[in-house]
Amino acid sequence: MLLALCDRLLPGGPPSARALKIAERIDLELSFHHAKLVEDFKSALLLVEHGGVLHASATRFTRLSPEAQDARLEAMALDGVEVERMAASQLKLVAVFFYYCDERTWKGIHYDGPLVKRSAPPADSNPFTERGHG
Amino acid sequence: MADPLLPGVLEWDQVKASRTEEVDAVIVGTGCGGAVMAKELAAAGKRVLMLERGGLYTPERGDFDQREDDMFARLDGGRGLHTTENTQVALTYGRCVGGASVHYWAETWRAPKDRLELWASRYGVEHHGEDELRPFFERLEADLHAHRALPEKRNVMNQLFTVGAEKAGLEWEDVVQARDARCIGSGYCVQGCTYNGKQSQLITHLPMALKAGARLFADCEVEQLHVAQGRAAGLSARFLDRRTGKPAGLELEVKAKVVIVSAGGFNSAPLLMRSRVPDPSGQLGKNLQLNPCPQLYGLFDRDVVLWRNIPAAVGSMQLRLPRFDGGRYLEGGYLLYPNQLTPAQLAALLPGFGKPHRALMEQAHRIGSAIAWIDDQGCGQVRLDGEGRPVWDWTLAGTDELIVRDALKKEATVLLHAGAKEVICPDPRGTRLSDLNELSKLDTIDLRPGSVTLVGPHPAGMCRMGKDPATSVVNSDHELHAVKGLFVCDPNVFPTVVSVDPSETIMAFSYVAATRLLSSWGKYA
Repeated sequence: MLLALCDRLLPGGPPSARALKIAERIDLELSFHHAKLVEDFKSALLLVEHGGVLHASATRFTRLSPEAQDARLEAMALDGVEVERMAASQLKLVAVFFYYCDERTWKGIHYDGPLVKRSAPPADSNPFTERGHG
Repeated sequence: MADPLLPGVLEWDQVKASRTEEVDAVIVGTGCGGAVMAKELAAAGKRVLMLERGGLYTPERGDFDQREDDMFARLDGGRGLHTTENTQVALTYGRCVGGASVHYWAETWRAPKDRLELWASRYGVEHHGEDELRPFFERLEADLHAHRALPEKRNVMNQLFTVGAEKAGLEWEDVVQARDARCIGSGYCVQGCTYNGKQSQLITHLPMALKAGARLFADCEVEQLHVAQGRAAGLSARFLDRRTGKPAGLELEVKAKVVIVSAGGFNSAPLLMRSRVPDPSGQLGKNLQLNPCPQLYGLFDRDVVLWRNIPAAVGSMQLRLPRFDGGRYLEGGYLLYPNQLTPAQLAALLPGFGKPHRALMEQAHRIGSAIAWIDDQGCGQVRLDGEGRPVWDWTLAGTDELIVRDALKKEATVLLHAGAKEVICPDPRGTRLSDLNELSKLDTIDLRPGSVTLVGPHPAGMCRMGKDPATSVVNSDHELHAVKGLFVCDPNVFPTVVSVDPSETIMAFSYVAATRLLSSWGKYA
C-alpha cells in the first residue's frame, strides 16, 4: 500500500520513489515513534486503500489504475471529510519530505546540498545509514 | 576544537547502572529557561542537576551535518512529525541538549512593553515589568552578541522582501540577531549551527552552568515528579537508548530541595499533569497559544535560493498588534518576515502531489516565500491520552482565522510587489494569484484542518503566571501556587504569547526566577 501511494505522490523521476526506497525509509522512521503515531499512520493508509466507499467506489486503491489513484487522492484532499483531508495531507508531507531529503534528488531541484560532509553516523542518529543506504 | 560541554555531560552510552542523586535543584529541560536557571543557581553554589530527554549533539563531533532528515531526527521533539490532534499545526520544539535554541532562527527581541503591561494588569504578574527585566535583557544581549543584522546577511529573499514591503507601504527593519562573527550565513540555522555562530544554549549558558559546577544528564526522560504534603520532593526518570529513543532499562531517582520544570512550551504541562500535581485553578494545560505561521510562496523569474544565508535578517513589526473597530477585526496581529525553508521542508509544504508538484520543485531555486507569526487571540489545550501521552488541541477559528487571512494578503502583496510572477497558496487546490486584484481569493481558500498546515513554533500559556491561585498555575516567583518548591521556568508561564520571538524573554524571566529563588532559599534548605 505504501509503495503504491509513494508511486503516485512521487511519480516519474529519475530517481523514482521505488529506486530511493522511500516507502522503506518511512517505515524505518515510524520505528522511532510511539505506538499511537504509528497506528494513526496505518489508519491513514487504510483510509486511502479502502476509503473509496466514501466516494462511491468500493475498489481498493492498490487495484485502481494510476489515473484513478490520482483521482482518489485528489478527492480526499479537496472534497474529503476532515479525517480524509488529514490523512491525505500528512501522508503526502511525509513521503515528499523523505524523497527530497535524499541527495539523489538534489540535482533536479538545483540544490547544491550541505556545506559540510556527512560524518560517520553517530550511534544514535540514523540506523538507516548504518544499514548501508544513502 | 574541544567541545566545551562534553566533560560535564553524562550521555546514554556512559550510563551503566540505575542511580540515585540528591541535589539542591533538579532542572527538567536544558533550553532557554532551564539553562539560565542552572547557570544562576550553580554560580550561587547550589548543587544543580539538569536532565534532558534528548541527546547531546555538537558541531565538534560532526553531529550538525546540515541534512534535514538527520537533523530533524536529532533536534526536534517529534522528529518533525508531531502536530496538533487535527494536524492543523506542525509543532516545532526541541528535544536535545540546548532545547529549541539549537534549531531556532536566532532573532532576538525584548518582550514588548504593551505585552508586559497586559500581563501585569490582566493577570497580576509582578516583578516582571519592563524596569525589572531591563538589566537582564541588557545582560543577555551582551552575552548573546545581539546586533542588528548587517546588510550583507540579506539573502535574495530578504532583499526582495524589502522591495515588496516598501512598495506595499510597510515599514521594515533589520532584525536583531543572536549571532557572532562565526556565522557564515550557511542557511542551516534550523538544522543547528555547524559553526557555533548562532548563540544557542549549547555555547552560552550551558557551558557557563557546567563550569559553575552544574551537572547534566542527557538521554534522560523524567517520568514523574514527586510531591509530598504539598511540597516538591524530587522526581523519577529513566535513561533512554539514544539509538532508538526507547528506555534502556536504567532508572534515576532524584531527591531535591526544589524541582524546576523547563521542559518547553509543549511539554512542561503534560509532565505536571502526568504527575497529578494539584491544580486548584483548573488552568494547567489550558490556554495554549502558539504563534501559528501561515506561509505563501512566490515564483520568480530569477534565482532566489531560499535556503542560503540567515533567515529573517529583515522583518516588519508594523502590524504586530491587531486593530479592531468596536468588536470588528480590521487588520494586523502578526509579524511579517521573509521565510526560509530548506528543500525538503519546502517540498512538504508546497501544495499538490505527483507531476505538478515535481514540476514546481524543479523550480525550487526560483521560489521565494513570506511568513507571518500570528499573535493568536484564541487558545487550545493539552490533554493526556490513555497512556499518559500529550495530545495537543488547537483549531484555527474566529478572529484568528481573520488574522491569518489578512496576513496572507499582506504576504501576497509583498511577494507580488517584489516581482513574483505568481503567488502559490498552500491550500489543496494550490490557488494561484498573479495580480493584486486577486487578493480576495485569500478570503475563501480552504484553511480547514487537513487542508493547510501551519507551523507553531512558540507555545505559551499552559502553566500561566498570575496573582490569583483561582485563575493561574504559578505565582510571580514561578512557583506553583499549590506546590511549594515546584517551579516552571519556560514559556508556559507567559499568560499569552509574547507577540515576538520569546527566547530572550524566556531567559530574562528565568533570571528573575533565579534571583527571587536565591533570595528566599532558606524556605527550601
